Amino acid sequence: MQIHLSQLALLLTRLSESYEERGYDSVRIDDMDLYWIVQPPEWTDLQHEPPLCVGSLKDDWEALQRVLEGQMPTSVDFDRLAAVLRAVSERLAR
Amino acid sequence: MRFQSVLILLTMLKVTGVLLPARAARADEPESTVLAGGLKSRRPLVKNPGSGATTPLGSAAQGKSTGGKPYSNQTRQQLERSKRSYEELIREHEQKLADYRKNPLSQDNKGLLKNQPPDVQQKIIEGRIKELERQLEKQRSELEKINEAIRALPSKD
Repeated sequence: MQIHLSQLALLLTRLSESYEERGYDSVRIDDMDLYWIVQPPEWTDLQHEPPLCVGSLKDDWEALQRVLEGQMPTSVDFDRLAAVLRAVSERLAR
Repeated sequence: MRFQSVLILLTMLKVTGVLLPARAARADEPESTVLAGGLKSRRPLVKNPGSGATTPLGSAAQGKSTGGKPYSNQTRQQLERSKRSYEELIREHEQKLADYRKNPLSQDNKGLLKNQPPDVQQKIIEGRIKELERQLEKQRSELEKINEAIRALPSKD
């Protein structure tokens, strides 16, 4: 399995457009904040009970806003976007 | 926090560089206009690194355009800019971690921490510190890659 970055963009476009067509415009997630994370390498090691870290959606979203404003993105921003997408998914599935 | 689904996501991907290949292809290739803009094709495509052309997955197009050496296609000016940006980011992040260690409740945005029993509170605080440390590690490792690329540049003289 090889992930091409350009395909991520295409997938997000397809997902977003599909949900827009269904009538969704935006998703409120402002009542959510802290969440548990299992970090690599433990997250793919199913032999052991993993230690947990804690992320903050508010913190993630604020950092992503700074990327939109011109801050240089880092690989951490992929994690942040992933967390936000997960929260959005949870709301869309309600 | 309100999530404007399409516009913000696409802008984010553009800014993070994920969308750039598709957009560049759209400028160069009429075929890509349909794929990137209208998503008319269900066939997965990938931009051929360095060529500007879009080719189907599974072709020889796979692989990094930098030959496995990140940042090696950037100029000294770009690298120096990235370096400054990462250094600033790391300084801010270190400050944030120090602030959190000093007073975790100050960043308890939704009161999710203070309303927990002490043992859960402790787990959350430790988990948050671990996560902020891990983010810092990632940023430092990225900065090291940039520094390596700068060191690998031919001397200015």
